Amino acid sequence: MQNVDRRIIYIILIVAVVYALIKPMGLPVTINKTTEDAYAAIDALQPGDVLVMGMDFSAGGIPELEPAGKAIFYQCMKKDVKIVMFGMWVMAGDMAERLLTEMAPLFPDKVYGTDYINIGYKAGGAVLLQKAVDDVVEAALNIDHRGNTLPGNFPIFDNFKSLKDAAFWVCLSTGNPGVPDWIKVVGDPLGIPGTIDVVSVSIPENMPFVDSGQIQGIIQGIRGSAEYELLVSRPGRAVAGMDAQSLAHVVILVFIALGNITYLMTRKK
Amino acid sequence: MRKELPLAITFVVGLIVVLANFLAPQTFVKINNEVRTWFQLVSSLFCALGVANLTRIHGKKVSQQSEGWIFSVIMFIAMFGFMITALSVGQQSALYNNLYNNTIVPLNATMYSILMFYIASAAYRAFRVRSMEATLLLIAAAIVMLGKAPIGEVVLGKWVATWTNWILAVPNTAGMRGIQLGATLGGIAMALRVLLGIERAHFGGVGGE
Amino acid sequence: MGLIKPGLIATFLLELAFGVAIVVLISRARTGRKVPAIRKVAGLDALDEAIGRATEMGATVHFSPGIGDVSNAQTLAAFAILTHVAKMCAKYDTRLIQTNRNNVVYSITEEVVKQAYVDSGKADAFNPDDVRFISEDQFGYASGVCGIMNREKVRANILIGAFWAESLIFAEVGAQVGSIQIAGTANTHQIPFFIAACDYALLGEEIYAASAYLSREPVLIGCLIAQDWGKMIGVILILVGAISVTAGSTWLNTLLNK
Repeated sequence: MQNVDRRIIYIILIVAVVYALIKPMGLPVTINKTTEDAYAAIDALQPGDVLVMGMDFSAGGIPELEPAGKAIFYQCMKKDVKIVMFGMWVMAGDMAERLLTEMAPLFPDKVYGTDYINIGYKAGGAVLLQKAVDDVVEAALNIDHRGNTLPGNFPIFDNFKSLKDAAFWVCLSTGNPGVPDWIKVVGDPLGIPGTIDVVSVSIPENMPFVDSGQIQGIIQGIRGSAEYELLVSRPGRAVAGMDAQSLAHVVILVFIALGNITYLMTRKK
Repeated sequence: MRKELPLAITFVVGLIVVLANFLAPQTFVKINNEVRTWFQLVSSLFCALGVANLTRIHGKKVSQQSEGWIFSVIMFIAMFGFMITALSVGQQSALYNNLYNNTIVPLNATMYSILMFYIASAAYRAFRVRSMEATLLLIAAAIVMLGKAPIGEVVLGKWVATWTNWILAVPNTAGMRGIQLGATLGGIAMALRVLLGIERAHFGGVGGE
Repeated sequence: MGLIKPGLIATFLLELAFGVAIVVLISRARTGRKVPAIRKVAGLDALDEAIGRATEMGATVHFSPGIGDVSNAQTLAAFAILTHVAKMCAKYDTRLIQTNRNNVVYSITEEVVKQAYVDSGKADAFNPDDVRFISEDQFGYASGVCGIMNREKVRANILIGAFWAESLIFAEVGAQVGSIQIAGTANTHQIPFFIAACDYALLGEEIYAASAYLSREPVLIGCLIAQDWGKMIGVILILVGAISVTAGSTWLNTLLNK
């Protein structure tokens, strides 16, 4: 048991995850305080406020981050909070379009360019954020992800000229550039509150920012996305994935335990 | 001049960027904005360099029919196919979206999902009670894994979630802060060395004199 | 309006003091004054062992500077180690495949490796096709590197720089093909994966010490001393701040936010 072929571990993991997805157990998901804090901070926004959504992730982050992104979009549209989406990652615009394709039809009264807009990806990494602090349209090189000229006739830019005009920011991030850049360029210098939605592996490194109050709560990976879905009363893919995550964790722990038991027995001998 | 000119440019531009972050007068801010715009433009230009490199390497493989050359052909079809589609019919077209959503997205998600298997095999190999520190690591990992998944609270009770939050908020935060502090200072020192021309590895020279 | 932006005065002064300390210590080192020894860093000592192992097996060395861009200090630190690795590979006629995720970094690493070969007197041995840009996409890069590790008989895998999710993919695939692995990153969220899956791991700022450690240049060691001083001052500020806030006073917080 100390040297189980890794393929056996992989097969058992696949079986466990697929089983949980096909036959959900319906394990209850309790809401973490950090997710509640993030939800409450966005809930405190007023109609007409602009929330900037940093889509700083690629397709690999979809299962963990997109559910929370959709939930935040839903929450904002319900509250008449406007959303400006852009990102420092190449796939930023595409990730935003995916979200809009699914969520925008739920709000037929909301209009692209008035209530939400997808500026997309622009090159430069953190430099993009720095430029957007001064002038969003210039940072966007006067064009959005759909090829429309900015600011054009889009009313969303009437009162939103730069990131300084944002009431809140949310960074959905799987890496770099990402959270530290938003905090360094937007959160701390401008004093604009924000929160983050990060993959599970990034939670430990971002906890100091929560503790110091530099961000309002944190949406922690797929578990955080599941909690946020429950908070906006729209359980979706993240909640559905919780049972699979539970079984996967149990399988890994069982193998670790078996490996250690055999190791200790061998050491004793 | 071949060495001195890049060093001089690095120093001047770096100094402008650093000072513009701290100094209030608008002159520095305007120069910094100009530097940032140029940085954005140059970054975009380098995409072409990457395409050229890929074309050269894989073109050679195809022309010489080296081992695995068929995959290079597939790479060309994918790379130029996407470029031509995006430039001709636009990124908003149904064709581009279909191609993107049915290839790039699932492939990316698949690679990320592989991590589940690798985490399992790495954890199985690495988490052994070889020492006191390793045992503490194992216990902390087990608590956090159970606390983050709903099954932990269901089977063991609320204390798992409480202890998980404590581990993340207290010892983890303390450790992360310490490492981040050291790494940040190291990063500042590295940046200063580059600015002053002491670190020249990126110019093809060694560090130091 | 003052010269320094409000809220950044303390930060500016602290950074200025740090910079001055580095310059002073560099000047001291240049005048030939004795500098303290650096403690052993197992990962950096193991570089030669790893390359030697690959040489004996007639295998390939793979080096990745991470997926950060050129403005990332970790990538800059990786260049210093790459120079050393490339020189060793040139010296022993060991094949080095160097992969990149970023276009700008690729253009620099090509020059770094080429120069290392030239400096080793093996300019003809440099193969530009072995310095590769794989993909700007994180997982495109990861899958490309995994393919290379499997196909090109990589037996020494050196991963130094800014890594994210792909770190464990590299480390596990490297372990599967039987490579000796040396990894280092200042990205705290990936350090545990490197520790779990690699033979040697450089933690955080150890990667920044690489150029000083490998070259033993007094000037660079002087920089390291300044870093350690900076850390000590940081620790003192943390302790003083924690004690004063606990006692109900936020004077330090106010001072540092000026």
